[in-house]
Amino acid sequence: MSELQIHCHDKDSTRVFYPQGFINAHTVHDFESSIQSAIEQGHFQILINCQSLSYINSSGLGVLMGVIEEIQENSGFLFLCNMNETVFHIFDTLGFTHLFQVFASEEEALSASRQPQNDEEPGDD
Amino acid sequence: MTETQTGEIQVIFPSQTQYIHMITTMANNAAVMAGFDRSVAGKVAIACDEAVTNVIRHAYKGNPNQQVRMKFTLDGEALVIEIFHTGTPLNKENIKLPDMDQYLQEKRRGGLGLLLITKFMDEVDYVVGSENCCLLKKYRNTDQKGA
Repeated sequence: MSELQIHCHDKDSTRVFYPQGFINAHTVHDFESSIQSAIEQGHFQILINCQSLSYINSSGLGVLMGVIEEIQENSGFLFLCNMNETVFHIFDTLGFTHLFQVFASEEEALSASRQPQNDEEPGDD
Repeated sequence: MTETQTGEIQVIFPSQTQYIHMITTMANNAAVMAGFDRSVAGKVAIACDEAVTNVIRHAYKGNPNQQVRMKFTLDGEALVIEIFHTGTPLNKENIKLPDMDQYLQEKRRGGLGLLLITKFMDEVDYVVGSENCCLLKKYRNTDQKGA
């Protein structure tokens, strides 16, 4: 099994990524290429479904930080869902849950994606 | 009745990122063996990932032909993980952990590895010597509070 596989599907107007494996210093370039490629194609509504993501380290978080500004400038969003405990702890510990909205399920995230986006910081819920 | 597991494992590997996942898995298993729950074991694994990544990227500046020596010690008190290298040492006096409010507001990038290590482990030290060492410690029997 390869260390990181990333599939994606477009659902409504959201590009949903399904990373499978782990994101660390060795695999982060594949992750960055996938996200960056979507943005270059004009996809600014992005959901990362973390169901099969075992962990992400600070290199992976750096990728998200590197694209969030451009996404927000283009009235888009970067949502995440289905995090396991380890991934959630990393986000929560660093306060990333204040910058990136995290949902329990893909359905919830897609439902939120259909709501009009605004410029407010996401809440703690 | 369960017996407290103690022991020591050492591993030497090339300074290449392809080995990091193996080390992360080993750290996770050592933490489970130490009696930590899966949640804490995951944090120990991430702390190791970040520490080893720092050695490869910063201490060895990406040179793949160096060696990293790692020692896992499980004693009655704690799980101790030591990461030895002969690259540029990290001067702990110069470590400045980011203020996350400011960091997120300014949408910065990078520099979070040391903070994650500090948050996820109970004790962290950087020792300079003939072999430099990053020392990570997670205490057993602390009810895993805030772990």
